[in-house]
Amino acid sequence: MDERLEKALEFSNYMVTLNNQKRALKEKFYNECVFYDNGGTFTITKEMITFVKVLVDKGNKDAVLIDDNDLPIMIDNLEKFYEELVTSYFEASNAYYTEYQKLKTKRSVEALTK
Amino acid sequence: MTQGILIYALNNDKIDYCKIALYAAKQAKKYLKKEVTIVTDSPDYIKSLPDFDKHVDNVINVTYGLDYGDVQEWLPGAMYNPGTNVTYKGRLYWTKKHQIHKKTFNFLEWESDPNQALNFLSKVQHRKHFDGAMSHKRTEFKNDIRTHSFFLTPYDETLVIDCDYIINNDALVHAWDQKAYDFLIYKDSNDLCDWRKDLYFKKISDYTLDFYWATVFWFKKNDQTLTFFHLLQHIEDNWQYYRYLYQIHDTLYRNDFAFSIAIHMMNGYQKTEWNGILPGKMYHVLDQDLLLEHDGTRMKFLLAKEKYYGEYTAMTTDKLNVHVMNKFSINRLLSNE
Repeated sequence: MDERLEKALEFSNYMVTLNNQKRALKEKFYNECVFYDNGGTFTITKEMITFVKVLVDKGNKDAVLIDDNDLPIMIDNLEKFYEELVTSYFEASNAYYTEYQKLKTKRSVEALTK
Repeated sequence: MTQGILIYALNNDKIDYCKIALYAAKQAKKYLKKEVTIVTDSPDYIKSLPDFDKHVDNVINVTYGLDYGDVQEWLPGAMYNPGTNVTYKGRLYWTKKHQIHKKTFNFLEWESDPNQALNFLSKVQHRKHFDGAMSHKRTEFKNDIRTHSFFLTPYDETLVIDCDYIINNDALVHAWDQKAYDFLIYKDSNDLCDWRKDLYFKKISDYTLDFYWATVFWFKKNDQTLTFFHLLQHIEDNWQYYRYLYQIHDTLYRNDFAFSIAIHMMNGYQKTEWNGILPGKMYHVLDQDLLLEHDGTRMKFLLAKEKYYGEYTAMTTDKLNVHVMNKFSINRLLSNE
């Protein structure tokens, strides 16, 4: 096979694998951005964090929050909930960042999936 | 409240379901930290596998077509005298008291030997199991026992998982924390292969019901879930009728379809919320894909390429729960360990 064509096909394979790995990292991040409290399921979003922070800053000790399944969940300790929400978000996003930086430096299919 | 995990391992001559189930049990116990019970037709074999005692707490033995002689099946509304033997859902029971006019079988009023094997008359089916995109084998599979989960489980709250569902995180443990639903299941599963993600498993047929995955489900024992499992058995017994009613082309009885139909019926034939959705996300790869490695929480796959049969692209996942449909590749991986 022509060397140029071989290189093109190799690059094509590399790109597909790179996209697969990006997707796998993203899915891992989204999986880790879910917080469970008092039987409720909360996806951690920037809006969620801001909303809970507003409630805490207004002096609320507890509040009813609507979870991912549209169920009302009583959060007894809002401040603790906020801290855990932020911690989970940063843990997940930092891990995502670190893994993504590693991914960017890899130049072969083999290295990508190691 | 007793809580635990139930896994089925009904062997055939081509796929070692016992080995796969033990592996699934190991992963489930590691991340969910609950008791594990395996339902199997090969109890001696599974007990002989390495580290069995470490990963499995109970084994339920299943036999096929056992003859109970003159013993009758329990009948709703019938009267029974002390000393009477009956069979119910594949098990032998006897009573020391008078039993009158009960609509449903009350397990508390009947005695049984907890070690007796479940006598099950499986409708054995055959299907094509791929092993990568280019090869397949026709194998026997016994999937209809799943509708007996309510009667089999020793737990009040049970998570049932397929033996090829490999758990790599603790999300499912929150199923036991929620109080809103008695039955949880996944409606969506994410295909790790990007080009296939919107092709299958959205509806049970083109114009009918939403698809639910019987691969993993959680239930609490109560009257409502008992009704659900009775309904499942009715659908299974009348599969041809329901298949035509909901325009399902596949002739095989498939639990995903039966569960989807039963959920639709429990929902009053509408989209309401009888069931909840399991915590976490479910991922899957088809049997055209290959599982190459599983190390800690990382799984390496070869995913079939679109339009290039026999060619694959690689993907490594971390901390994702994956339904690996290629059981041959799990068996290969476990044999090389």
